Amino acid sequence: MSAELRRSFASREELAAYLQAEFPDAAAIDSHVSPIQGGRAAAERRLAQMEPGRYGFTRNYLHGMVTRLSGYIRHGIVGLGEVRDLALARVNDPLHASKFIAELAWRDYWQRLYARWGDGIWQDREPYKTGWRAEDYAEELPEDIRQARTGLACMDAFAKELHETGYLHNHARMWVAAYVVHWRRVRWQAGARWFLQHLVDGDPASNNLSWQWVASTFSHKPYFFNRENLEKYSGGIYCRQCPWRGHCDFEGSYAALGEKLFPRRSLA
Amino acid sequence: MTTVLWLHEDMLNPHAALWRRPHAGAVYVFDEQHLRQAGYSLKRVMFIYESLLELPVSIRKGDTEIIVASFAAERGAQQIATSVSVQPWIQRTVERLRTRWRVEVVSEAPFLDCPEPSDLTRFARFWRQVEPYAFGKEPWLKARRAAAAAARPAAGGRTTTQSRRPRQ
Repeated sequence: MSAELRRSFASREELAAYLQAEFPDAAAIDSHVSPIQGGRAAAERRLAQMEPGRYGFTRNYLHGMVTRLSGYIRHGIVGLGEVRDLALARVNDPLHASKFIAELAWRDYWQRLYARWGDGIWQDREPYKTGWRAEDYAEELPEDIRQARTGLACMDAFAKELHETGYLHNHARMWVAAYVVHWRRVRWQAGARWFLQHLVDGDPASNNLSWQWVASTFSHKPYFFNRENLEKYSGGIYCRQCPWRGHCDFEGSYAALGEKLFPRRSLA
Repeated sequence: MTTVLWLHEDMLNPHAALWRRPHAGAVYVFDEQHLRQAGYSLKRVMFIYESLLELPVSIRKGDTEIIVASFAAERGAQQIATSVSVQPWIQRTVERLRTRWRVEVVSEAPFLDCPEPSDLTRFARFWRQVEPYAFGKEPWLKARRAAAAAARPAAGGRTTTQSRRPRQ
């Protein structure tokens, strides 16, 4: 019988040092300590701060009123029903919580598909609708993306944030996924695996099927964005300091970018 | 019948239904094969570990099946209880344990108390089927919506949350 692991620590730092020694493979992948603390007590502090009404109209902004409950939901530490009931109790009209509740339903939806498909969530559920074949996409995540050395201020900041905190805002996840799959033409599986290594809320179903939604292997068209969109929802914090400001790969209208990224789409 | 609890990463809630089972101890295993396959970084291990420190559970690492079985044997248990999971590797572990043990898989109250939706092809279709149940208080919500619709000037149907964007 394997030895029991320790249960008593004076501080998070002491715990982190202990885990580094006990889980050297995990530490070799990345040894950062997330500011997001596990456990029900931390989850309850988040629940107390939840503002489902404001969530509805600010959630797409990086500084929006998101709940950061995802890690706790993913590990069952709080239940979807419990979160829903609390959200409803905190608004005057249930319609004000409807956007928030629909997002909880997304999680439920992904779990149902996972129950149905099992490890099949790692396979393309449908062909790409990008004009490219699956073989046109690279198998591996490029090292410059992982090492935050693309030169693009936004993408490098997101990679660092992912590694250092184990969390990314949903909109940032979508931008990164679109960049990896559509601009760099890398299979979504490579990006999905990278996210699951680091996100404290990493759930195979929500993660992989959202990557497939961006890639278009589980949606009817690819998701992509332009710089204007990223600048707006990030409050401009990346574009302002970006060496590529004004001429980066994300510059242009959706129509122009669509033609550039998916030149064969009309023929497909 | 003596029962031990096997906790896994999908249910670390101290208020989980599992804890209400009379039991002679609980164990969590950091499964080395799973950790290797998923490539968890230290952040993920730590989040789970901190959650476990709030629970009365023996924390181990190694092979889940072997450790859970020997934990149960040590405590003279005849049954292992665990929480339901849709993860294939957890389901496979349950099946392997079942060849030698009685294993009870405990479910939580569902988020959506409704019949299994038939169409899961896209979220929008799923949502159309389950939305009436998603607010917990269905008849009351229906009345509220009808009142809201009646009060709105007739400018086409309300487009609610169509499947514009997935959410992690």
